[in-house]
Amino acid sequence: MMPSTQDWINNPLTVIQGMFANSQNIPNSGWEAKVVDFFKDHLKKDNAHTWVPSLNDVPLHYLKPNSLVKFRCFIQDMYDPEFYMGVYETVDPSTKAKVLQCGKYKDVTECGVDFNSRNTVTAERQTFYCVPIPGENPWVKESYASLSQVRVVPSTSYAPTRQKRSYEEEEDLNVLKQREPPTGPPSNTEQHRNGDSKRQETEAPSSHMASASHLDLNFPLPGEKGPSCLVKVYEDWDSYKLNDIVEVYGILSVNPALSAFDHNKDATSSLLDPAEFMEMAEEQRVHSPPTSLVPRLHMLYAKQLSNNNPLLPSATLENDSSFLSTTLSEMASVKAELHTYLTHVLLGDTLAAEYLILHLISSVYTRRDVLPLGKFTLNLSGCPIVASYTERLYQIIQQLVPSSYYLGMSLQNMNQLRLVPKKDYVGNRLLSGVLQLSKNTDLFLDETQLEQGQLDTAGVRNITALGNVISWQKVEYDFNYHQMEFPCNINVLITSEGRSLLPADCHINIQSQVNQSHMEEYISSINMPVHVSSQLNKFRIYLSLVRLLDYSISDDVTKSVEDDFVDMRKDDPQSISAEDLHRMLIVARLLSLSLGQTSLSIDSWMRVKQMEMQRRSTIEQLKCFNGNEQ
Amino acid sequence: MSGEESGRGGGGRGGEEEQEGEEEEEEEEGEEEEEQEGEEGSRREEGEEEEEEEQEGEEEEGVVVVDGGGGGWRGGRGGWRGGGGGGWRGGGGWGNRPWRGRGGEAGRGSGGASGGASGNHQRVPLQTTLDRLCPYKGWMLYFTEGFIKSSPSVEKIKVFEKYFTSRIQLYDKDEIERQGSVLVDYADLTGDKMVRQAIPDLTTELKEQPEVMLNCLGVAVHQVLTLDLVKQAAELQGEELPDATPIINIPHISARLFNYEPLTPLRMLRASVFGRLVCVRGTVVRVSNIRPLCTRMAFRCLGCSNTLSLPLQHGKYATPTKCIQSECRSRSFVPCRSSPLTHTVDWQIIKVQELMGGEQRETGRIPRTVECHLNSDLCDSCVPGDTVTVTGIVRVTNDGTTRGNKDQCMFLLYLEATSVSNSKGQQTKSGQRSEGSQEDCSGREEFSLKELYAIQEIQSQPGLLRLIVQSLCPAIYGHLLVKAALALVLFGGRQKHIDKNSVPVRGDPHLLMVGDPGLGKSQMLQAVCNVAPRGIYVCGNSTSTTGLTVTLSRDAGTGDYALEAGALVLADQGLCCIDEFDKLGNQQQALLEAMEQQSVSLAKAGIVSSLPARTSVVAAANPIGGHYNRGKTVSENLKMGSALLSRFDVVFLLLDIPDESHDRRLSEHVMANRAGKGRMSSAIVTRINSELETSVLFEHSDMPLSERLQIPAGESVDPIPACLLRKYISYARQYVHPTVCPEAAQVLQDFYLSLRSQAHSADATPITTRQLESLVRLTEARARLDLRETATKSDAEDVVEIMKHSLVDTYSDGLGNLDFERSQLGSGMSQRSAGKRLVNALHLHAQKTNQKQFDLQTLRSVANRLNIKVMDFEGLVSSLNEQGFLLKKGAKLYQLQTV
Repeated sequence: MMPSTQDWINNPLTVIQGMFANSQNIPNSGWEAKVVDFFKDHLKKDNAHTWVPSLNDVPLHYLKPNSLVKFRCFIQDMYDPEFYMGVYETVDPSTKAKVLQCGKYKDVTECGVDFNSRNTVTAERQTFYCVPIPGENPWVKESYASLSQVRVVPSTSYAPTRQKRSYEEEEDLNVLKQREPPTGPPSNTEQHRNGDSKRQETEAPSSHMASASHLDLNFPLPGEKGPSCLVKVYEDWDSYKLNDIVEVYGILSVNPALSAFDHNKDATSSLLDPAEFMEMAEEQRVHSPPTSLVPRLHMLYAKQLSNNNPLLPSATLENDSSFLSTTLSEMASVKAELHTYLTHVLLGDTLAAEYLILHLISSVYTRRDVLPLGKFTLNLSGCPIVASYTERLYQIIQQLVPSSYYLGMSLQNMNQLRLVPKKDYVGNRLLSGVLQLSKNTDLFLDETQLEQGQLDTAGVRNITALGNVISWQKVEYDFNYHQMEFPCNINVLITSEGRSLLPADCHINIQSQVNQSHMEEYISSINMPVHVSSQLNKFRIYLSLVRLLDYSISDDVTKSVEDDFVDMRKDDPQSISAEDLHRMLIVARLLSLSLGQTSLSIDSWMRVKQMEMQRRSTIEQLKCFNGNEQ
Repeated sequence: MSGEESGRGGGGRGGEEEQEGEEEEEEEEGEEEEEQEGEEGSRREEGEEEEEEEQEGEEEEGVVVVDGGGGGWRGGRGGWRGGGGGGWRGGGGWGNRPWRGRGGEAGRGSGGASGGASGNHQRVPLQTTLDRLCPYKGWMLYFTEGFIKSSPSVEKIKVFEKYFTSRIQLYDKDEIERQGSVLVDYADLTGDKMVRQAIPDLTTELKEQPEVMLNCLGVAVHQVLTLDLVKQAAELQGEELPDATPIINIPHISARLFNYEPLTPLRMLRASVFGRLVCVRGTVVRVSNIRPLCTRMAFRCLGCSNTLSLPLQHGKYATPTKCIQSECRSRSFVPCRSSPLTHTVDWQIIKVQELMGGEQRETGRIPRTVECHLNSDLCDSCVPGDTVTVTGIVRVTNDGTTRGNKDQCMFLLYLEATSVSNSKGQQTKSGQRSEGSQEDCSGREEFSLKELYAIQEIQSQPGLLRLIVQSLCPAIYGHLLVKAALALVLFGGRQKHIDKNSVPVRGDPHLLMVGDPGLGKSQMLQAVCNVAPRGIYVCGNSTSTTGLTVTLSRDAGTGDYALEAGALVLADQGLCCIDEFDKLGNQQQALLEAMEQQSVSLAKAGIVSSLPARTSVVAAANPIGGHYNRGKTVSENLKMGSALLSRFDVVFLLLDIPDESHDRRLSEHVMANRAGKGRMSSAIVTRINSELETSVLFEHSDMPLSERLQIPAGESVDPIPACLLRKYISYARQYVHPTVCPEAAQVLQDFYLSLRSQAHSADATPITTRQLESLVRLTEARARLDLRETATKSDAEDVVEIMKHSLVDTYSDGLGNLDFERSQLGSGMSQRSAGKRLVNALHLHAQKTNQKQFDLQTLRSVANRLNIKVMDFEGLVSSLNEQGFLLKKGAKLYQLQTV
């Protein structure tokens, strides 16, 4: 008997229990693998995965406990493995009949467990603390939500009127969130916070209000929201890394019994139970947050995501050659459109627009020894400081890339923000920091916010951490007694007035074509191309897709590039060094890819040389302008 | 009666009359009890009987304690000492009650001793039978079940008894008595012939049933010590008291098994090792307060007020199922915490975090932690930050969340520690070993067999120096001699102690790279840091003085001062890479002490201390003007004092000189790195073949080192992976301590003397003994690289060549002539004569005009009058400024300093 679609989504545990029961008389039945295969196969069939409700866009109290849900998330922390009863026996108190039960994919066992049974099998599982992808932009969230075919059916425990209100409110919030920049002026954040608490109220109407207020959900970025989740992993947990982004399909568990409860234990037990000491209480509180805020998810199947762009087909590119061929042919024209648009945004500077595109498609593709290859940190200097230009620029980038974060490098932020994640041994968790980001997140550093003042020790550390990210694409997590390097892949864009104090792979000065007197007017006229959303979507697909292309340099071209380099050195050794060659090669790589070409052509190489020359001249101008630079 | 005395001594306020009264009561009750026992005795197991009797006896003890102001249910270790006299003869006065010596509860409060003793007095016959049955005085301390002669444990105990008897001289008995534990070396135990013969599968038994085995060991030690003491006591007492059997009351002695093998990686602690004995290593990250843990709890029956005690295993609370009084059978009990039967030990939880090294670094996991429970004497054996090896039994605890909700069946693993070895403690022990041990006393790394094979494999490679040089930062092309020097720095020389009180001669070479930007200096630093067993990388422009040395910070909460180690201290016995060295500014001063004396001193806020900073400094600096000016000296090119500069063993110039063939190879190298996703070809086979041919060349090293380091055309080198290289280096640093052989010493001496003679002129002395020391250090490092214990002549020659390279770069002028007057030290200046003349003229000028300030225009005119013609006049002035002759007062305004 095959269970119907609704069955395996709404009652996956029944399916599992059935398979478990069937396998009982067969030794080595491998039922566990069969369960995983069952769900994997069913999810693949005719878009079945769109029927699975997602924790990302359906509020928790709309979801049915013990049903199959999905969650697009970021692995923020990994806890120590835990042990559970994989198979156990229950005794019916009235009939004394013994029944074998399966404890997998469940948090809570049935009543009447026979702890002394010989049939008990202890098994191990790993817990990941997952949060929504940090810095994921609203358009991504909306787009994913619109793909879902789930009709939200309110669960029975709430009055419908209340749900209706909360739903509306949420929509309001979404709109609100879109309009405001994440680190905007204080009035905005206040509004934000109000919204937050309201939302929490509607989300968690049960008894956990009090605990919710002081529970830190440990999001990497300040001002983030959304459900975080404790994902229990049963198979192959070594294949997941910290900071991976995954789409988890699993069984939702919201049993309130799982929360750390108030400790009203009697004195006797506190004397004897080792787990109840004060030192461990904090850890317990952290590891067992209320399920209404942090539900548990028992992973059945998970997909590692290479990107979180909802517009790309979910299948791998090789399998979808038609999609690839159509977009490849369009690439050059899409790029031209995007270039025109960005030129408009960057005050009419075509060169800066070109470099900005290269920056947006860059990604670390490999590491050679300690050197990450493929990163392309861009320093856009000469940004006007009127009419919050940089914020506007960020809002535009936000519309283009799936995840991004705006970090105003104000003195206060630098001295107070925690950029580097730090292990908290009291709660035994990794306190997140701004630099704990998923791959290809665009980090927008606004140096125009920098004012005079003194950086304190934390500030100096933060600047060093930023420098490390830019130069080596690694973050040294603070484990108190030692540091641990975690490689990252973050695109850093620095906007500044003069040359940035941080190192950058490429520095370009914006050559504004706009008259100073009209600047404010011009900037306020820069608009999002919202009305042509199909065009916007094209841009989004383009930027994500280019990253996935392969690239190579043929032997002929290699030869001529080498010749070129030797010649250039002959003419003027001061003008070009090995570092310059590295930069030109990365520019050449990105430029070719941006045009959809998967190998370097001589034409592109010439274009790169010309672009670099032009760029240098803009910096020379800046130096002359500033006088005693260096 | 001394029993009473001891009762008063320990318990405090219990009056004599009161006690006597109680004794009477006890006697009455005792009679009753005996009657009951007469009926029940046969049905019960012996162990139970014994237990119960004691419980009954102790009921009155409880009363005494309560009356006497609560002598403390926390019976505490040491209570067994009875009246507080020395030795183990605590209950000496109990005389004719020998069974009492077995004292079920070692830590029983002495306050209740008299009551208990008298209470039990009348059950002597029964006890003696038991006593006769069980030859082990401490049996009940270790086993809950009674003594059965046929039990397999008894056989083992006998074997262990023999083992301990043979080693009794090695143990400090007083120490064991005080600690309540004895250290047992696993290697020694399993290596013992007698033990191995008697118990062939000792290792598996220890692994699989550790608890039983450890208890057997404990009983054996207990017994051996008891017998030993009996013997001593008999000797002491002699004929004085011929009829009194001495009472030996030894507490529970736990056997602490250390040196257990194999070491289990923390991440491999899975459900499969549950109940096994394992050994893990890690950093202590949290330490809880010490608390009492109840190991035995007394319960009073609500039905008949009878008290019985129950051992609480693994700290789990349990209540008796039913009252053992035959007529009562009540099922409700009240725990008596102040009863002397309730027995507690010190108990502490520590959290140990996995050490992430080598290949573990790259896995992208969060290091795992495991809880360890420490008992009695193990408590306080470590503080957060220590690296410890914990041997213990794997247990599971119900996650705390399950309380009140039994349905959630989730467990967490923890280790019940049987021994904790702190590597910090070992340090002090091995530190007593004299010469050479200083270097390896801490941070000892363990090598697995696989790693040792890899090290052997690496060592067997021909042309090892070349291979290592090529493996060092393969992304950077060329600079082979610089890389060779970096490799030598990684291995380091030997620290020498001439005698105990002198300052040790440092063994860690320092290296400075100066050069044009864009040559990959930072990358080389990163790469070196990456393969160093302990490497710290700091950037000069984002660090402060205290960031390099020590920070004294005040804890906001407690107001205590805390020292926070800076980069140099953190890099102790390792490598400290400082990038942007020229941007350090005045913090360079902080380095002076650290670089020569190898320590960092601090005298602030009442704290005077000196912290070790035995580190090699590898620095990279950019010249002032962005590009290196060959017309100037190193000191002029860098803003750096000569005191600091002279501390560097080797200074390299990395210059960007256009050279067609070099450029071509460079671009090839860069392209190979960048081209697509293709990897560099790894041709191990070809390498081995070709090196067999070329290795002949290495024998007679006619070729200069720089050429030997190059890969011949058509050959490719498969670089050693960073994690293996790191292991190799740490192995070499730990185990190889080379000495310089006479021929090598001769080579070094000749080179040094030739430098001295060349440099011998009136006002330039760049070559000092520092250079000689550097030569020795590097030669030792060269031998270490090959894991050789003696540094040979060819080692010395290699080093001389590296040194020459560095000297040529720094001392030669634009034409390539060695000019030692152009010292790297501040005293030498390329434009010295011109500068001196100018300064003299300015002095005259100042005296005449009484004007000490000059603007650039005046300076120029003075120079013109003197006919000083230099290409770069402003450069000359700024160098005079750096030398301290002129003080820059403002834009183009200088003040003459009086000399």
